[in-house]
Amino acid sequence: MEKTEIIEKLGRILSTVLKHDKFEINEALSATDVDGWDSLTHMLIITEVEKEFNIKFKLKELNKLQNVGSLVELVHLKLQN
Amino acid sequence: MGKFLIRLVLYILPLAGIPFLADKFISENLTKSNDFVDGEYSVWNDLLNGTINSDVVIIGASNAYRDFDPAIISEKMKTSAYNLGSNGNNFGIQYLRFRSLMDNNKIPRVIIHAISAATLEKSTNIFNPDQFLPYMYRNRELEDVLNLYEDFSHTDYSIPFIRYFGRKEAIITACNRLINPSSNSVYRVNGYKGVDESWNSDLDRARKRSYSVKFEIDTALIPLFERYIKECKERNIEVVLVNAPEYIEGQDYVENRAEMMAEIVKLSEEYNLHFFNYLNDSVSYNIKYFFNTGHLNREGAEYFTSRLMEDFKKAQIEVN
Amino acid sequence: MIFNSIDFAVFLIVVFAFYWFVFKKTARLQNIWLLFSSMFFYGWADYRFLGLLLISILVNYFLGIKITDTKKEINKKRFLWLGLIFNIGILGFFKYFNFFYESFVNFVNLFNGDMEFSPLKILLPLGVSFFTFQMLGYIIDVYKEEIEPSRDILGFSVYVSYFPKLLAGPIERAQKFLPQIKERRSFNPALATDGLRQILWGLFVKMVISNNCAVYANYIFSDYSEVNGSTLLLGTIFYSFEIYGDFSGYSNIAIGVSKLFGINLMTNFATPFFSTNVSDFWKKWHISLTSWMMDYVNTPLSFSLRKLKKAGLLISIVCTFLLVGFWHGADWKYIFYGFLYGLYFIPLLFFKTSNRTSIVAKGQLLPSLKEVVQMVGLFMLVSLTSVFFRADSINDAFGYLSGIFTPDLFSVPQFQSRGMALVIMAFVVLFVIIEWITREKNHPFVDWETKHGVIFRWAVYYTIVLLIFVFAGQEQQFIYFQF
Repeated sequence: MEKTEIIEKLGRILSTVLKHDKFEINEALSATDVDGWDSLTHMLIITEVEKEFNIKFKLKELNKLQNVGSLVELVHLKLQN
Repeated sequence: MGKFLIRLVLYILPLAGIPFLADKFISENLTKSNDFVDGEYSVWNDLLNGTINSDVVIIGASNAYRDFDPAIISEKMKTSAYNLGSNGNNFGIQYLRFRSLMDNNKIPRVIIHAISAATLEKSTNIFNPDQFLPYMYRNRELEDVLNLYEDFSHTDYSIPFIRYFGRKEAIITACNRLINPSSNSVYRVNGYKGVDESWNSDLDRARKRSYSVKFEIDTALIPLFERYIKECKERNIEVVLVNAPEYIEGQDYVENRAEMMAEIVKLSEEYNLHFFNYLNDSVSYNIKYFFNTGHLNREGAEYFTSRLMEDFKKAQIEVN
Repeated sequence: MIFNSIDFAVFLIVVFAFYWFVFKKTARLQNIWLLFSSMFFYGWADYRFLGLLLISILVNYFLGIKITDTKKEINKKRFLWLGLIFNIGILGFFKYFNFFYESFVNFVNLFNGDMEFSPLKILLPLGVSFFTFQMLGYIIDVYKEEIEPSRDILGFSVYVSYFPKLLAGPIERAQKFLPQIKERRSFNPALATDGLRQILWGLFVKMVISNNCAVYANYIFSDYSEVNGSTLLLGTIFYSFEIYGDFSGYSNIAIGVSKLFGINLMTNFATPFFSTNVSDFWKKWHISLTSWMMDYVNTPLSFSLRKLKKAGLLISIVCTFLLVGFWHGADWKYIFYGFLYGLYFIPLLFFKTSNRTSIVAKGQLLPSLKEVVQMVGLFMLVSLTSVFFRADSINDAFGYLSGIFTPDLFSVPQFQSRGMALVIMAFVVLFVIIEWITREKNHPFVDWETKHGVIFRWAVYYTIVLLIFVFAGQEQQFIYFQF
């Protein structure tokens, strides 16, 4: 899967979980930029991402995420294995 | 850093000078108040200015300033009378009144001491401590007596104004005196305050709770009391002990009344003092004379004082 | 030493003077002086537990290094467990032993047992809830390789014992603190002045707002069966401001004092009463504790329960808040308090209720009507829940609350000295207005030298000092010292 497709799907997941699209989905976007994306909703988002791409995260990997860009990298990496 | 410190010092400097002025200003104006802290300032003012000049004085707590009408005493004994009762305080503060009287005023001939179970009760705190605020700065004698209680520390007497910290009611009262000098109606008449109320609800509340309380005696006050009696004997002052009426149904609130009175009774016998006890007198059975279990209302005070005067006459207590 | 005392003022002046004039040459010297002062500070408060503090420092320091230096994963895990058991053990013993012991006895007696509960006389070391949590976080972070362990025993000791935050937080993260004391601090007048202003604000909030509200809250709570519903409701409001004023005031003083030494501590409160939902509230109230709980409890727990989706998240939240409540004290009422807050997240998770956390009405002077309703609603919810925190027991709490929801809720509140109570309420209103206007800042005086001239500023400072002097309420112990 191409990174652009990953990003697009992530954008849709965010909208579904957070119930709004008041954000511009791009690599630099982080939780602090998006209203309602906090440690609570983060887990819900992560679960949806796992489901959507059929992958499994480790907690250690999650702690290293800085923004959407690093999430895309991680998903891309897992999809290749 | 230098500039920072200089600014800090400049800021603090005025704060250092203000206390002296503020102390003077607040203390002076505070003593003008007639009704703050139950009107104690008017009594202190008369004591310190030497204007008591009475042959008969009454000393005690709230039982004194509420129950004994000096106007009636003055009329019956044909001489001047003044009531030095201090609300809510045990003998320690009462002694302070006595001391102040003796040091600044004409020596009385008769002292009527209003006794109760609370006279020698241990108290860690002063009732209405604010009554002393204006007089405390560098007052060694006052400090010695007030050290019996825990309200003030040494800095309160030595550093100006610091004792007013957090005492908003006192500061506001003092400011009010300045802004509004006329609104200061007379509260105590020769130290006495008659209460124009009839019975309130505190006995009913007490009945609901149905418990009695054991008082604790302050052993430090006993030698002080004896010293006081001795001094009066030496100065030819007749001390008459009186237990004013208390409403009969509230009397057993105090569990160990006899114990609290024992020392005083002993001293009265030893020094041959009159002791009038009205706890079982008809006055104590008549609810119309009381506004709560411990205190007579104006009607009661006037009636009781008249009765007391009759008993004085029978016992030949008079001022020559 | 409590922060608003002459003792502390003298202490602070001495420590400050020596720090910037005598021990100023190197970071090492500065740290030595800070450590000495902090040990003195703790010893002054309670010398009996200095030993415990020192042991805790040494054990955690060496464990941190061991965890990193051992090669085998299994051994790393063993040292981690050692650290967890040690720190939780300290807390568990000193704070919770009697609670567990009594609960155990009650449990056994349910089955017709005849066990007696004779509590052990255990003294609570001051600040134990705060520094053990700091250490737990440190050990876990080292294990997760989120931070390099400190190899500077001096720096690490300062990190643990630093006196402004030693007794009641903020609970600092090593990542934010250790780098600050690695380098020599040079005096920053702007930072120091900002610190002084923050201290002044904290003193005002603690002594005028909190202490005075406490007087009324105490009176109403101690006599709650004798007053009517509206007074009880007022009592919860007074209590909310008492505890907010107390803890945010303390935190501001702590952070301000730290700035005098060139060290920045984390913000602990961000005007939480202007939140519009429960999630937002906990992001702004006692931030150092809740963020700790979120990072070290909720995140891993919700991660392992993520298969259960929203239900899993709810379970995780409830457990986390149970712990938040329990952290406050060894009593079922605190557990219940936490449990309630966990439940309050249900609407946020399962219904369309928003969990927005941005600053409400950002950039605008007034909030919208909807926002006002949300804020007031949340404030009332928080105030009513705080009854469990304040009452002597769960039973008393329920008694108190049932007293509110009676017909006399709509009658006039009854209490003595009405005049003074109204003055205090006026101060509270003033306080709320000031916090509202400056809600986007860490404390009302941030950057204000850019907006107001020196005469105005100094007039305000003098006014505040005067207000503190005249209106300081009867001294109440900092509530969080008992934790």
